[in-house]
Amino acid sequence: MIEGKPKYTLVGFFVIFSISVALATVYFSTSFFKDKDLHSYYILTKYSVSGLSVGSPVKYKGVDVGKVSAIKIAKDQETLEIKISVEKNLDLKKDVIASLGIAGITGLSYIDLERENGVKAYYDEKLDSYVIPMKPSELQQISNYIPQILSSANNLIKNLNNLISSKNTKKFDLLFANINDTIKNLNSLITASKSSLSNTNKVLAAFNTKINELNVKDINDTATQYKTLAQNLNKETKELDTLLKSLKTNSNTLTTNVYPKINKTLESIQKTSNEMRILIKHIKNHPNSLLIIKHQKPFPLEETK
Amino acid sequence: MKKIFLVLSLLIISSCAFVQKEKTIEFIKPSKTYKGDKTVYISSVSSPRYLDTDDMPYLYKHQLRYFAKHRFPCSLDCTVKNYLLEALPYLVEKPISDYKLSIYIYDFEPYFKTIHEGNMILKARFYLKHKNTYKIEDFNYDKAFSVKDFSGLIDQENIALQVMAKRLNSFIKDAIIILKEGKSV
Repeated sequence: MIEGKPKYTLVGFFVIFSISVALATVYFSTSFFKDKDLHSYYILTKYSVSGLSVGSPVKYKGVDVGKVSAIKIAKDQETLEIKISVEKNLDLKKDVIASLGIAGITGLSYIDLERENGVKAYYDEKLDSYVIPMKPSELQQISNYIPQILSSANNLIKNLNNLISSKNTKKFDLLFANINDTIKNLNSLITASKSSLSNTNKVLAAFNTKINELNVKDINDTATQYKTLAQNLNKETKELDTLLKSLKTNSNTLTTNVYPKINKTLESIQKTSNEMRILIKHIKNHPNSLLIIKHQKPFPLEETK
Repeated sequence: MKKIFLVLSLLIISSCAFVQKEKTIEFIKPSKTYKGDKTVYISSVSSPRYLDTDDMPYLYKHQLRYFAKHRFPCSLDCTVKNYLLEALPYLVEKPISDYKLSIYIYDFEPYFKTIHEGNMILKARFYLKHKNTYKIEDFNYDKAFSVKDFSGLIDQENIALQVMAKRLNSFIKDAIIILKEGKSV
């Protein structure tokens, strides 16, 4: 059997084609070449980054701009070194701060980059890269606030209980009874004043008539009427005095007992509402935080027996 | 049918409770009591919010944390007030005395250097008021400890409070003598 002459052109073409296919496979299936278009930064934190893993997205203003390429624990055993690779055209050296974001209700985390004036990344010679500062996530901030909120709510309930205690209820009853009495006194005083004024008018009219008539007997009668009027006025003055005293007592009760308690309660409500606002804002942004329970890590001494 | 299934599923899911393990309550009781001649009204025992909780705080590597498995019977203010009422029986919680005592605790926690060693810290300020005169004193307790287990740590907290009760007793006695003369310090 005679062997044919090898077709070198065909073999060469096949070899070149195979190498091209291999290179294309490497390019599309790995990030070997793509990484050249990325820039590496480091983020150092002492907070827990549960849910974050290698490959987790890095978002800038909500847009995917890179991924987490490595997470290491530093030599001090406390600090976490998170290496991120982001698009080269994005400059993160100035006015950028990182935080831990949580995606949906899955519990998976991502690195959230935001603009914040005055924040500056620094160059770390050991890491040979820029380090972006990190702030605690809203969830971490909220978890710090929860004991305060509970304490405020407790104080508020105590104050409310205090305000509606049987002792205060009695005071309120007494206050309302005093107010009722005062209103009654005021009504009778107004009625009395009206009749006094009408009496004064009558007396003045009679006085005028009598002056015109210049009758001595009538002058005597008028004098008697004046006396009665003076007595009435004296009585009304006394009633007015009693009324003023009653008003003073009521105002003292309000100033010394009721107002400070109301003020205290209002302050408590204000404080709690501020804390609630932060909590609601967080729950609105991270609804999954209601489902995630963060377990406290026991101190090793607690485990000793 | 689908709707009924959906409603039932929601009911079952919403009835699931997140169960958290109960913490052990550490009760601190004075081992010694101190007598006094005058009745003194203890108007308040207060502390910053991060201390005034039934969680027991500790410091480790410059961080304030709370023990995960142990707690006080009530908040710190309540625990200390109760302790002092028991240690100093002449203290009363109702305003039936002209002498009014207030205490502010601004530090009470172990500062661990290692897992078993550290310093017990208790810092407080005492105020005693009588009519328009008053006396103030600071109390600082900072003592090294070495414990094997958690009960050893509770003993150390008890010792710190006992020392504070003793110091408070002598402060009240001295202050009453000075305040009688109408001097403020």
